[in-house]
Amino acid sequence: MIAALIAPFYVYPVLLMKLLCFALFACALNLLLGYGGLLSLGHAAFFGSAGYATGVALVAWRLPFELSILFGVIVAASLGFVIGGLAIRRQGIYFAMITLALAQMVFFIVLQLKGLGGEDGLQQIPRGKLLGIVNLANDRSLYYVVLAMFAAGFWLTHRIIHSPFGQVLVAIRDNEPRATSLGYETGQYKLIVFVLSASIAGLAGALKAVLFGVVTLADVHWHLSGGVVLMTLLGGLGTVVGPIVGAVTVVMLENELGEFGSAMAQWTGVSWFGNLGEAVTIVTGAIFIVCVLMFRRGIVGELQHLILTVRSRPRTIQPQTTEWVGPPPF
Amino acid sequence: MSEPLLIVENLHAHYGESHVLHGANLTVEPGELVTLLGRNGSGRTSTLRAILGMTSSRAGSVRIDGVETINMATYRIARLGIGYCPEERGVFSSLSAEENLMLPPVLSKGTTQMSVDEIYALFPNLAERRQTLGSRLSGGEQQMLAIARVLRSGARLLLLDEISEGLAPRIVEEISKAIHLLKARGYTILLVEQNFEFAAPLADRFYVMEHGRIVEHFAQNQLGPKTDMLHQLLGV
Amino acid sequence: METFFGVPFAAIAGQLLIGLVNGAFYALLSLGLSIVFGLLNIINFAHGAFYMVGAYAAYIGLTYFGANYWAAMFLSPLFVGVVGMFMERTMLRRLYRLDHLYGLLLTFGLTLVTEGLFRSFYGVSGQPYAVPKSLQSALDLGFMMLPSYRVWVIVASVAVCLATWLVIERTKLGALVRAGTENAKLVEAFGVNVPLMITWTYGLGVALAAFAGVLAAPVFQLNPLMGSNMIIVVFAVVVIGGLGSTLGTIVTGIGLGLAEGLTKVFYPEASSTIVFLVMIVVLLLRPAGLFGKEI
Repeated sequence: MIAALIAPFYVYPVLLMKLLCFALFACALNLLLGYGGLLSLGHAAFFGSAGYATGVALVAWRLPFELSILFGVIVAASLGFVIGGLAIRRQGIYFAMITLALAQMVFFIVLQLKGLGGEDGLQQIPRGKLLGIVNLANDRSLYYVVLAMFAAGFWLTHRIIHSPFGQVLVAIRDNEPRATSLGYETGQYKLIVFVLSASIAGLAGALKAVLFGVVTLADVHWHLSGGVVLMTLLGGLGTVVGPIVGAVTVVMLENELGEFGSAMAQWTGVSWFGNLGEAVTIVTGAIFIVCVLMFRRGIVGELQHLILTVRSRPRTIQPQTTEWVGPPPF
Repeated sequence: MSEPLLIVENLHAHYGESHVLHGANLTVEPGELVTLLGRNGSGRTSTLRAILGMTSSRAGSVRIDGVETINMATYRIARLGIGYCPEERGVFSSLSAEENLMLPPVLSKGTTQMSVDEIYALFPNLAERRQTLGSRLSGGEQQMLAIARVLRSGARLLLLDEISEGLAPRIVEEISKAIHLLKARGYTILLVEQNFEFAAPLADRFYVMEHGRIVEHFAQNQLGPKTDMLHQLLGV
Repeated sequence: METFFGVPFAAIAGQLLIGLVNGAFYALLSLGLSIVFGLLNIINFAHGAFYMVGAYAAYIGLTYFGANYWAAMFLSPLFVGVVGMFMERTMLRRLYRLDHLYGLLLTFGLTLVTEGLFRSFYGVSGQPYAVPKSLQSALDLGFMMLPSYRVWVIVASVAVCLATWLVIERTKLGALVRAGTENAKLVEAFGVNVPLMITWTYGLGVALAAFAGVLAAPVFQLNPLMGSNMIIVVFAVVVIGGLGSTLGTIVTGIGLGLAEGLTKVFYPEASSTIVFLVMIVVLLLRPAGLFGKEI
């Protein structure tokens, strides 16, 4: 906590804010995927559309900072309602495909809408002032605002997870037919968590738009949708801090890959490593593969598991078990 | 004294985290019909599936015709001559009755392999409905098809799960007659049954399961004095 | 000149032809995708990447080995099929016991790696691939020119699709695959080497994608991103058509290609999103898909 408050005095605030935005984005996805068991492959649609909405509000309509952010979140929430409402009509893998397809549609709409800048995106988005007083052009001031919003978003996901709603959600994730037989309207629960997740992702996107002053098509691209899934998976699905760890890791990796590559090139004498900076996609994909094959619990998950196995006594029978996600097929 | 066709020793099995078999032991001699009795959830179906290696993990020993199969893949175990009729019958709905019948490969052409003509003679209903889609067959027809399927494959050891369940008494009669015929032809059968009345006249020996273990074991000629205990145990 | 709703007949016919060509690709790709999904329960996001690799294999074959288009048509799917089987055996197989999502994520990662690699070698502007000499002619229909190559694409795709349909619906092997789609473990309990069958099925599925890639090379030209742009639309096609009917998948693919073509004529701005719009409508009215079987 204290570290977060004094950090901008030691570390470049823009980097910190970027980390916070993506951490919030990952938390939003974790809520949906880790706790709700729903894979959205189009979450960038909410992140990016909120960014564009906030940008338009600040640039074209000259709304104050707070209202612009709010507008971004509302746009993301509405989009979440529409996409979520359509996607939950199918289960499992179809759900994921539908979110991907609808997000792609959003991408094309954003590309073609006049006023959103097409291939160039929105530029020169002003930061404005918080409540008309605090000048957000100052990075440090903005940092505390972003930190506060991140804390609010994170607190919200935390509250949702640990509420009765959250428990029903996990029950639905683990065994939907049983939840339905117990009388729960599983469709409603899924839609609500989808909209919440979209809203928080929207908040992250709106903040990022203000932070960098620019929103581009990359913010609604499926690469980003995949990227945030990776962050969540790498950090640890269904853990509280996992998404933060994952987001920090992935963002730092992408930032530093160039330098890491040069260092590796010098150390091993293999000049190809110098190109690593351009190979972000390849490295991201490779990490994805490794994670899915061998590292499914993610960083935080593996740590938790390690602590648990060290603490518990070994069982008498230890047959070769394989992971089973789902009810036993009696 | 020939070795039993099936020897199950200290068989443990899991479905994911769920430990369903806690050291089951049983044997089946060639040509015998052995019945596995027990309440729902006692582990009978799991035993059959574990023999075929269809649970997510298993430990112990399963010897089929002298061959240790505990580390074998399911299809290799089946190729030793096993025919499986699952509880849900497993008739493929997008295939016709005849496609279903012809689907399993012929495992061996010994005395236990029935030709298609012989099968249609045994189950004339199936001959009539051979072009019907699997999903359109009645419960009884599906059950007969499930049995017919494994007969064509030439399996020697039949694992039958609840073959009388949910069927009209007339059809159960027919199936019972078919099983008698199979026994006479030298098939070795491990039969899981809830319906005691169906199993009693067919079986040479009885095992009773509870909580994933064998708790009772007796022969056909010891049945009389055991009936009360069975009624209690099985809640019949 | 004849017009239809104010648009010249020639223009409509031209766009319909393009739409038919696109539809042929949608059909081929969604067929491969649904075969893989039916048996493996994995949505092969890498399908688009295999399509792209198939096209580039033809290009590389031509540039470095002098293998012409017709050789590529045979060799490229073969090569890609083998690569696919290798990936299934080493990586995908480990994921079958898990939630389907992991398979999708793994193939997603594979796509990123593959596209990244090709992008670093070939850039983003793309490579040309010439139409083979024997198909360079065009038929003069009076109201429009009909390039032979496009006719070839349509004929070849439909032929391959129908051949695949024939194998699946009318052969013993196809019966095994269909049964395996319903209950793979039970089929294995009959003594069928299902793991091997799955490997071959994946190989066949991605070979179909590679074949589409070779067909596409002279039409769309080559680009490392050609796969992912295509695959997302193909996903929508699969959702619209629903799984469980081979013929339904083929018909849906072609139909949507035609729909796209028509939209281009009358309302061009919507042409890139029309497939998604149709998906929305189908989801609202018939969630299992047009030809899908209710699961």
